[in-house]
Amino acid sequence: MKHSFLALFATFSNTNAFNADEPTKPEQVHIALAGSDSSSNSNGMSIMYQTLQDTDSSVVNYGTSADSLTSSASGSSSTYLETYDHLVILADLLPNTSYYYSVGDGDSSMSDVFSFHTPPTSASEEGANVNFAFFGDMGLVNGENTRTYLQQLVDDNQSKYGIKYGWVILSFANPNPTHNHSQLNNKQST
Amino acid sequence: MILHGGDAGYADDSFLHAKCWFRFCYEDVFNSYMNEMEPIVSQVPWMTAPGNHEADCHSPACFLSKSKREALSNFTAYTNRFHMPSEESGGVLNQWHSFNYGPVSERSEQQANERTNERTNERTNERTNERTNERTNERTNERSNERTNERASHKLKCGVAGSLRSQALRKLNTIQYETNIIPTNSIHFIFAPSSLGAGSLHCDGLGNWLPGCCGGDQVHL
Repeated sequence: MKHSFLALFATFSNTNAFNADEPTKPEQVHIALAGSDSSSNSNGMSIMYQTLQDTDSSVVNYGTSADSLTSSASGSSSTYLETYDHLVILADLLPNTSYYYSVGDGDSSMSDVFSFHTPPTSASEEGANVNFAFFGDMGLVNGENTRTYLQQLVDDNQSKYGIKYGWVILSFANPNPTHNHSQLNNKQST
Repeated sequence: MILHGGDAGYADDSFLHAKCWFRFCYEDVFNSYMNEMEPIVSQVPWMTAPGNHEADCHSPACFLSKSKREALSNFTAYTNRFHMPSEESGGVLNQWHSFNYGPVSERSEQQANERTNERTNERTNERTNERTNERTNERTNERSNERTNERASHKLKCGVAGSLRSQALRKLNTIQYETNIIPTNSIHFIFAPSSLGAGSLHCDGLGNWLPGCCGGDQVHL
């Protein structure tokens, strides 16, 4: 009961997404694998972001050096209610390679530079240990500890291996994943 | 890479928090959640499946506003905000898809609308429903499975399912498609979820069942 009461009055750590003064500033940048080559090796990446106001174009500048984003790809935007979802797909990427990218309108409203590492090919990694982070559920209010933990895994992995495809299994069943994982309580999500 | 079995931002439950009792919070919460995720998922692929909490908006604001209710019905926010390789893998929307990552092949299946479709049906217009229903029928699922399986027969397989609700699927995956790993979200009393600590797993055996589950932005924690 005590927890129910507290949760009801929980405040969001960052509810003020979007700044009306910069309506075309990209936010919420995230990526996902997009397609494979003829040998079934993933070689595409979807880059997604949001803006408050639509822009004439949706652009990702990218390259293998953070200082030199020499390639460019464009995509499209759409909206279903309030904001604009942008999608740009990068194709024909090299395997096992770090890419740097910046998203935005291709002109004055571009994001910081982010980076990702492409998957290895299946041939080169056959039999290798492949690790993932996986979980179900999260939430904004109660997901904070999970995100902290996840960020730690990403950062650790990066510094330890310099690459981003060795992964650690993460199962999430509680707002506080630092608790004993084998003893997590079994609250059902409905 | 991150596999997320759904029920990501819990934007649909935002109205349960005091701050959102008197204003419409669905989009704000979704935006905030995505911003909180950005430092992680701008670096690594975030592969998602929808859960029942991606299905629609059931806040009082959405009951009062037909336009909001319809704009957010039928997994619309999830469909627009994410883009999974469904077209490339013969899947549907962001709900069924598969991809390869090195030696691993992953397949995602959407089980949430088994239940939510019924509910959503009443709320959305017929046209949308028909289209969605056609796409989400067994045939599609089967086809997607076969195609994935064929292409990835020599590979290790991992699957992620949104709101897995039936043991039948579990058996189907293990026996017919030799799936190694099935992380899921809300398992809804079907079998007791177990949890794992952090560690690494060698994808080398059949029948490694790794149910994730439960939790999220619930007020009755």
